[in-house]
Amino acid sequence: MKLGIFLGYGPRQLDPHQGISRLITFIVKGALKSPDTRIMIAGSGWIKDGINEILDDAGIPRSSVEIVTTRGEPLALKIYEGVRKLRLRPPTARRRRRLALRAISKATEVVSDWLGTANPVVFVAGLAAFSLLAIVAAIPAAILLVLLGVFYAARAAWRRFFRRYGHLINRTYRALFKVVMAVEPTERIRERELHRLVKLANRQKDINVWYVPSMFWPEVAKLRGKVVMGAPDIVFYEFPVQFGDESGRRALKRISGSLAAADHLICYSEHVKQKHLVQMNGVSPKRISVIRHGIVDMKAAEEYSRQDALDVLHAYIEKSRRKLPDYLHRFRFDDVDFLFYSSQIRPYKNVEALARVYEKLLRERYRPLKLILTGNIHSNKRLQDFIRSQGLERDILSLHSVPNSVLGALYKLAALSVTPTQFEGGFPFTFSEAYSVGTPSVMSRIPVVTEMIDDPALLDRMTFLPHDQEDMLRKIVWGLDNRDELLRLQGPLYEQLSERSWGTVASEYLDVIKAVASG
Amino acid sequence: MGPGSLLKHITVILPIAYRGGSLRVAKTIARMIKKGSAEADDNCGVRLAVIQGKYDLQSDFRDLHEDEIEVREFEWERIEQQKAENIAFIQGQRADLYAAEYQIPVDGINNLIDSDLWFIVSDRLELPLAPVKPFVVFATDYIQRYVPEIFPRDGWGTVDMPFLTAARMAKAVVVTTPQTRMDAISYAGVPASKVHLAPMDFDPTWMPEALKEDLEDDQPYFVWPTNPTQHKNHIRAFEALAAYYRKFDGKLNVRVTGANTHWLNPLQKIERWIAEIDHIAETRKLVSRSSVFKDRVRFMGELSDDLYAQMLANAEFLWHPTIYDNGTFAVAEAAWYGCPSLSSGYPQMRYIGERFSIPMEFFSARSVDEMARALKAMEEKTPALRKGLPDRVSLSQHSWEHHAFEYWGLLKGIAAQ
Repeated sequence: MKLGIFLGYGPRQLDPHQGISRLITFIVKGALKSPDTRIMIAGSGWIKDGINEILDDAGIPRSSVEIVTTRGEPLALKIYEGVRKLRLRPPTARRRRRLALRAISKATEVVSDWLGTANPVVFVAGLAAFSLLAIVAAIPAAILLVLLGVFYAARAAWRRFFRRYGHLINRTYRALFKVVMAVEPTERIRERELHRLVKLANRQKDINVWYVPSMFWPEVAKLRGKVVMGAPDIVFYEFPVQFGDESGRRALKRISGSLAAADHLICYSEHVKQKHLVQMNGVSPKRISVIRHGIVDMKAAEEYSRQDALDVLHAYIEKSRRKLPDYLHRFRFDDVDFLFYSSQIRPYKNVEALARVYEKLLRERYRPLKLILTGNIHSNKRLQDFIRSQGLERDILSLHSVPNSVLGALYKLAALSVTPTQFEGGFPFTFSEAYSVGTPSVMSRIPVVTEMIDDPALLDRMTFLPHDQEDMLRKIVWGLDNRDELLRLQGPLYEQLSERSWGTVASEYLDVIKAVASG
Repeated sequence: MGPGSLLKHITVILPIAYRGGSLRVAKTIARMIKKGSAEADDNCGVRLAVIQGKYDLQSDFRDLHEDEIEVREFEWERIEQQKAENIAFIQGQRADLYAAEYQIPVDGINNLIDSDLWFIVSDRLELPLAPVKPFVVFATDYIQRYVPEIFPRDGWGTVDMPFLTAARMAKAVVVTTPQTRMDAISYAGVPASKVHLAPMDFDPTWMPEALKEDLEDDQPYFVWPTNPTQHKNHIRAFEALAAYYRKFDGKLNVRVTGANTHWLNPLQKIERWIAEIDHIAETRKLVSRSSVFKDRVRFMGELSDDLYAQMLANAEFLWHPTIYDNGTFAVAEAAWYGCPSLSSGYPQMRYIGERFSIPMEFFSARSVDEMARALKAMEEKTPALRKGLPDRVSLSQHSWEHHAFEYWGLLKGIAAQ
């Protein structure tokens, strides 16, 4: 059997540390164990490095897998990437000033050395050199001065103009932006690219079955061979209001197209199977397999002592000083208790409720701890406004896009991991990630959680109703006050989850894929 | 000089021209160091440094002169990073400096350089201190963490940065309550090993005798000592008073006292800029709107020690509805005169209650209804609470003289770190 893995991700979307990348590599490893199975990975040229990286990260020799990618990148993307790199490190005014001062200081040193010479030849030669330099540099310097004057005058005029008419420009700009974004230029670039990729993939005539890990690529309908598709969830059904804009509608259209193109679907929970796929999309239950996640732990941090974790975190803060708030400069986390939620900020993740509960915890229960998030607070205006209006910028901290080592350190140092989400496609990874480094969790009582926890006492202790902030507060307080007991109670659940390795998960995927290929 | 003492001289620095409580704290610390080190046979020299031109050095510091504590005036001088680096270099230190500007105390003599340690009373430094001498910061509280409104809105998240930097750069941070210690750790970001809980002293020596009869009014009342800052919770407090009188038929009058409390009284004319401060304006509006306050609330202003003592001695209880701070000794002063207290239940007040063995009733400062109910309940509870109050001998055990030796031990420990 030859298995094709179709990766239609956009630029920089294939991260070796994400769960899906790990799942893909486990499937590849599992498939390579059987001598009659060959693997091909198809992806856009812009994720070629990402594919190599995930294989290297998993210790899979590149030569054992056939990799097919499109050639070249759209020009617009190259320009965008170039600009992005430039913007990563704009020099600050302070740095500019320091560089200028250093240059002046150096020049003064040279002049001083020359003035101090006792050798008449050196003195005369220096004088000649300075005179020559003055003559040669006079005209460019004058031009530069004029240009600088024009630049500053134009900037001042623009600022005056913007102060007066800025609101009109902004309004026009917003309207224009809306029209442009409605066309979704980036999506169109990706669609075009995926059509090219499908054509390329179809040149491989010997592929029996494709594994497609996402529901966002309806272009796979044109693939030759059967398609087994990963269907994590269709979260729009749970939160129609939060996703009620044009992009939500378009995304749902793409998902419907993808579902129609799939011969078989794999999701992670019964809830998603029944509600999202069977009820809402009329997919036959026979076409859907539920395969739960394997254990996700914090291998990177399991061996950390508390001091190791602190060193990792402090080094990261120092290194990332320019992108983090000034407040964190020289802040020592040595003895700081904090609640931790590792998640993107999505509308259904319930982060605002957590922030409100945290405010009560701090200001009404007088618990002097912090809340650390790994999502970007600035991506959610409501959340950002709440934090600002309550003056909580110092205590609700966003350390987003941290490397795995720092993530592990944060889990290790946290007093409690809190997962307030209103929805997940599978049992939250946050639990095992936290437990593996000795941190207990409390989380929302949502279907994927109740599906996994049989013990009613444990369920009561570690879960809260995501819509009930008082309940969330009670459970957090109990967890903080009874940290060791909560950790002890959660031991059996962790053991149960640990039994399910990603190797097992991958072999279940391969069983389904093989059955579809042969059926 | 006792063996092992690294401290031969300490300058206690009052960074701002404080008066009242903060000045008293600075003086007490200086006296504790002097007395404590003498008791330990270390005889540490002590100086108090205060802002130039703001005090009458003779009359304001008579008590320190009696204890042979020098008082010296100084000014803050801003210096550039390069100069701060040079100062560190000359002293053989490598300073990791990041701010563009620093400040140093300048006194026209030796710039306080002859001390082994600077003890800064309050973290209110406008700029980071240049690395001239090891210094200790006395952190009073971090109210802004709980009541951000105490700072102007456009300064949230920035205005207290120099205060936090001061704590982070200090050799040690000294606090007087466990909760403020936790705030220093988790808000200022200082490791616990550098944050020290110092004994909380209570100085009854200034307190006059008081008659157990009130000459002004025969109506029973309770006392509300406050000032016009926002964390004192005036709006909720007046709303609770309105509910206490209207909804719960409250029997007791209230007497409001403290510096600038006339700002809260709508019948008093005040400067326009003060009247335009949001919470002052709202409080005055609230008080003027309700007729019940006219009959039941008396704004006493800032009273002399004698009058304040007399008012406490004749009060039913003392009311402290503040949202958050480092706690108030007003409850200990009230207990001295046999007056029980009803306080909002933030940790510092509970700590003071425990430390001084003062039985208190608590309520949530954020719940108007709970505050009003607590006031009503006090009408019944006062006699029992009064019986449980500590006597003057017990309260005197907390005087600074009793803690001087311990205080000195704390500083010696810090110096040895």
